[in-house]
Amino acid sequence: MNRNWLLFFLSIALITGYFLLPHNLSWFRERPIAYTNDFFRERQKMGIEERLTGRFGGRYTLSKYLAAELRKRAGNGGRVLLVPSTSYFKNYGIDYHVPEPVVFYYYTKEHIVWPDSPNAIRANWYAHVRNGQVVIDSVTDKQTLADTLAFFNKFEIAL
Amino acid sequence: MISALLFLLLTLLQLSAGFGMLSLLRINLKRGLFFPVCLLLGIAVFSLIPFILQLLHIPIAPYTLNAAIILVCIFLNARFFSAIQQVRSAWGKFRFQVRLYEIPSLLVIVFLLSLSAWRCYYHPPTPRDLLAGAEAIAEFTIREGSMINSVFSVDVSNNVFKPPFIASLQIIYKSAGFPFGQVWLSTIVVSFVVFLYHALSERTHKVLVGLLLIFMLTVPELYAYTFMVLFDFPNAVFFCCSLYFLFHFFENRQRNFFWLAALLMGIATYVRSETFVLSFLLLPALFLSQLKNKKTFYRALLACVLFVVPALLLYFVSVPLYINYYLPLSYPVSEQVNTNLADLGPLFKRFADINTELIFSETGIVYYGYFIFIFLLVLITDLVFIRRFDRNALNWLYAVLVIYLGFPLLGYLLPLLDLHHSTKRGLLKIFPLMVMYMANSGVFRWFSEKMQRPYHF
Repeated sequence: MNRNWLLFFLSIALITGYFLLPHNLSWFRERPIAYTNDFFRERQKMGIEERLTGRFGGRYTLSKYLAAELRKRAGNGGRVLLVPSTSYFKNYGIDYHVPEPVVFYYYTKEHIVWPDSPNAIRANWYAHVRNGQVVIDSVTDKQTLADTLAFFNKFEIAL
Repeated sequence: MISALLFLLLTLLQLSAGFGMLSLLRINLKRGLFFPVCLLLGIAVFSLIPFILQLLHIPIAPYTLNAAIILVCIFLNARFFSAIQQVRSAWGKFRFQVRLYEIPSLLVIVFLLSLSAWRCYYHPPTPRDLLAGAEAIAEFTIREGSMINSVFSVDVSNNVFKPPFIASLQIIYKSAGFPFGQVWLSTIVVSFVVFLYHALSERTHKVLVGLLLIFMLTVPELYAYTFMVLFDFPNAVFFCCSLYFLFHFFENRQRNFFWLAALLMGIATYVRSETFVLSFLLLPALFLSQLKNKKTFYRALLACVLFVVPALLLYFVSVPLYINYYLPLSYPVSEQVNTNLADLGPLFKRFADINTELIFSETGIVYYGYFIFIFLLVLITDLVFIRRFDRNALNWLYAVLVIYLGFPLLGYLLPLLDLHHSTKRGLLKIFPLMVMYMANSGVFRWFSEKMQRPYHF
């Protein structure tokens, strides 16, 4: 056996030994092997919306739903949607990780504000939970908006 | 099929832009380094194009982008014919050769990079910093023709104020028809791995080179950022490449290597602006190298000043100028800087936290695997048994120290750089430097020499 073959087997031994180390083995299973399995599934789902939904899940689909509702209800007028925090929705049993306004805009091209924003007073629509469903309603007057903001701000607001 | 052709076209244009840069700098590299460096330089050039169009108030549309790209490629290739002649005579006949013992590690590397490239292509941009910043800006630039667009009318975070390296590349690739952009990251990753493979092979046997690259690619955080676009991996790539050429300048004293190193450091700063602080920490090595080569004190100082000029220029244009004179929102950069520098407590605390929470901890193994421990094993073996450090090894060890000590300093100067996000990712810069040290270490050189010897059974 000459040098090249010896080094060939040495290389295999070293690489195998490296991947048999505990953390490396679990990483290899959780990442490269899992990614390989994902590949066979993903190549059957090449649509853009499929990929966006697959990656972002509920935060994307619920955001798109809210944006669609807003367009349907508000028409072409200037529209700013007040969206309460993730913890608000969790309190009502809705699993919705509320994206920050710029990310919501990226997903949907609609403007939202969070309750703790100085721009929250610009909101003319607000999202909330009624009978276990996420709905949107228009802001009828400044007092309603102020009361709504006060209520929403009781819930923790975080990224 | 069309995507593949468009990707190939963009890659060829980047190759031509990078070739132009190298020809203008009159740098000849061996084949294995030439192509990856051309691609990396080409991507760097492309990342400036939409930004420059914006600075000149030229609408960003497919026709202006394409025209700008073609004009830049033509302009950079002013020395094309003479450069081609030089390259041909330097390379001679092309012989692609892979030795038997390279195959196992190459197969693993190709497997890891293929998965990375697929995920980079398939999945939309994911990191929050990207969605809330560069990706949103790029998406609406395509729709509205300007990087100063309706994104700034929404409640934004500081992510929209980051330098436009990623936004610019996303604009080009989205414009070319890639809905998620991003695939340029795979070009950077593959180019860098090829670059490292050949750079490491200058000092170390290829069996060990393959192993080192596998060690590096299997650092969990690093591998994740080979397919999740964010600033840190490209920043690490350009930072390492800059140091490679700087250390070659220390050896060969060719000024064009110095300028290439300075330019690459400038690009690294354009990717992540606080890199210019790290570039200052490299100056003592440059200064000493100049003095050792019998330059006067003032010439040594001049070299140091010239080295940081590209980094400072790109920092100045992409941060204070762009934010204060172009963007519709204000972002006082000076308010991000620690004003109580007399209190060194946070500096020592950050240094301690990096060691106890990020590196030498269970969390550290989750983030970085065993890589740092392998590096320390090699370093200790060199210190205790080999007890010889050649100049290259010392240079790379110095570079490792710059990052290891530089990041606590950065966290102290800029408290916004938190530990478990910005610092955790920023430390990715240290891994290619550790790989370069290990390849130049006494223990690896000893093993390489043993492997070169013929064995027969």
